[in-house]
Amino acid sequence: MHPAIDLERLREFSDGTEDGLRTLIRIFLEDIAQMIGELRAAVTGGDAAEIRLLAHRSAGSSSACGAPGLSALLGDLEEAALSGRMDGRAGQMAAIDTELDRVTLFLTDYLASLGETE
Amino acid sequence: MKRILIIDDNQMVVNLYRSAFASAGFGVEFANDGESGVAAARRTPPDVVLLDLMMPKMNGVDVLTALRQDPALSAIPVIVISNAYTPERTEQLWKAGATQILTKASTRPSVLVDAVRTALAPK
Repeated sequence: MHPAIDLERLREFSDGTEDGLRTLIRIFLEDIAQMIGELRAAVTGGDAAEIRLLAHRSAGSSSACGAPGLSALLGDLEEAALSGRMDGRAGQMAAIDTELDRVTLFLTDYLASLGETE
Repeated sequence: MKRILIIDDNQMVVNLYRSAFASAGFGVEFANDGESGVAAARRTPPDVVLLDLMMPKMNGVDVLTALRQDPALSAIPVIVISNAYTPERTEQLWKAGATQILTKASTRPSVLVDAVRTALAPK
């Protein structure tokens, strides 16, 4: 199983300070939760073009921020939407939600270890 | 200061790259779709372009083709970074004149900055 997050990658993207890393993690968590919420709605609605766009965008953010498992699942959904194989989309979305929970738990635990209080 | 133009429709990714390149001493501009990316390059030619592939309005291959067909921009190094490669698309990008092709998921920020520095180094 992939690690939920490649912390070294996230650190490299921050400004090198703990505050910078905290800010980056908070922005990522907010951003990815919103994008995947929109993706969930598109999956429910069955709009393949919207699913493809949102899955692509979410996969890009996840891979850039060092969440390889989440990025791979989103890439699979994007590919399914692109090829019109939409019968398994509910199961794919459930797997994405589970992985998002894992990523969120990992990062919130990490923030807590840094002394995050918000 | 060398100027990099980042063309990517994902604001989160743009912010990450902007931070990495600003820390490395680059001037950074960005565009959120292919069409505005080409317009930004024509307005103020950058020293190097970092280009996403799948974007609204104009995709990365079309942006690269437009840049290479413009005499004022044709020599600018263009580094393509995406997760959306197929063998056909990769071949299209090389034929269209990509300087370097990188994968978003596996390219660490330091590697990306090094790739840009290499692209800018005198030949």
